Amino acid sequence: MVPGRYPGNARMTSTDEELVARSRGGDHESFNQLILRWERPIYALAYRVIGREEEARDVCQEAFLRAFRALPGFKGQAKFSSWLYRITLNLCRDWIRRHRRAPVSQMPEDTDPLELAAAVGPVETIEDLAARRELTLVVEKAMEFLPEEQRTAIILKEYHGLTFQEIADLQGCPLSTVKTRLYQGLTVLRRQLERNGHVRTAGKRV
Amino acid sequence: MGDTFHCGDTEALVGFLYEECGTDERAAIAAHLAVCSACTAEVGGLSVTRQQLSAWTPPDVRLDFRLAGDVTSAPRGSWWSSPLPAWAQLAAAIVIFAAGMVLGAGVFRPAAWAAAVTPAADVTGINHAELARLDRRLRDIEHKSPQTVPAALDNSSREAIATWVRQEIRESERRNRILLAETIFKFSEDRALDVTTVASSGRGPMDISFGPRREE
Repeated sequence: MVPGRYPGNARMTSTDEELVARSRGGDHESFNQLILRWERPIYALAYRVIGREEEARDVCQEAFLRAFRALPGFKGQAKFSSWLYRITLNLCRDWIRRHRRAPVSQMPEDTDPLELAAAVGPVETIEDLAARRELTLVVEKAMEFLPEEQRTAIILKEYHGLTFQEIADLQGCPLSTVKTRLYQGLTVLRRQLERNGHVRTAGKRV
Repeated sequence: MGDTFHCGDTEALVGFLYEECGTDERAAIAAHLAVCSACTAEVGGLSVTRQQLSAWTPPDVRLDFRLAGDVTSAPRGSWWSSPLPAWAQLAAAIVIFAAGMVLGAGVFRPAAWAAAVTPAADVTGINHAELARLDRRLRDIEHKSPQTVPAALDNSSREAIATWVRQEIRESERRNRILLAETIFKFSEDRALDVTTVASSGRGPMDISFGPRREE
């Protein structure tokens, strides 16, 4: 896991574990350093999972608040970042359960992603999309087709660099399931992006 | 996974794609890809998709979360670490609004305020201690000092006593108005202090709030 930023403050050279220990001792500034270090990755995670800017910010804030309140009970069995990711994902899951419509998220794990991609109706052409949206929005739109578990696995892998095992721990599933989710998710995304005209080879769009 | 690869083993391909497989397994997959166009196309397609995913960046919003408030006490999940519940905020708002109305009437409309307070004091404003004290003094005058207040009073004596009682009542009302004004003033001071505290500490003393952008 790669934290978002490390300002030039000498205190920022402290490890997460050191900052956690000082925070547990009542040093709020150390916890503020943890926030500074992790707020960007946590916000990015929340934003990509739930797809809404303001709500992602609320989730991010709530995640740090919950982490702070639960700090006395954090014994360091896991990395602080893993613990924070877990809190954030739980909050995202709660938010999705309350708000999300996402019919695709109800797709069972054994559904063939190729059939699913083929079954999706007409989509906008690349010309239409390019006229009003950047590729980032196309990807974001394609991600909406993924079930929550696949979407989360891909986000954790692609954007946060977690290992298969770390994802398995966070999602509470076997390692093989993580690989399956990644493969199925990437396949759906690939088909969606191709249908939107985003076919590239080795970094060059064709 | 070992040093063999079975064509179509998607889990193994994912491990290869993310470079999370053993050296032997990786070598086996690479050897297979050299001769299998289907698997090569699959891995290539997924690699392209991964490249495209890198375009998805979250909006560059301002975050700057910070713990606000007292930085000397240890973290704990006590009641004051949570924002006030809605009902408490509503109750506080009503009390503050009512106090503001009373203060506003007193400050900006002194005559109306006095008129409003005085009748109220007659009904509920005079405290029981004052009334009891006045009652005791009257009874003392009546029972212990008959020479001062004779049983049979002439009109002038009655008038003198009535005048004295009215003075006592007015004095009592004045003290009660002062007491009420002092209470309202104290409430106003407390309210101003609370507002200042809340404004300087976000939603609560242990809350996380948005603060000014820090130097990075």
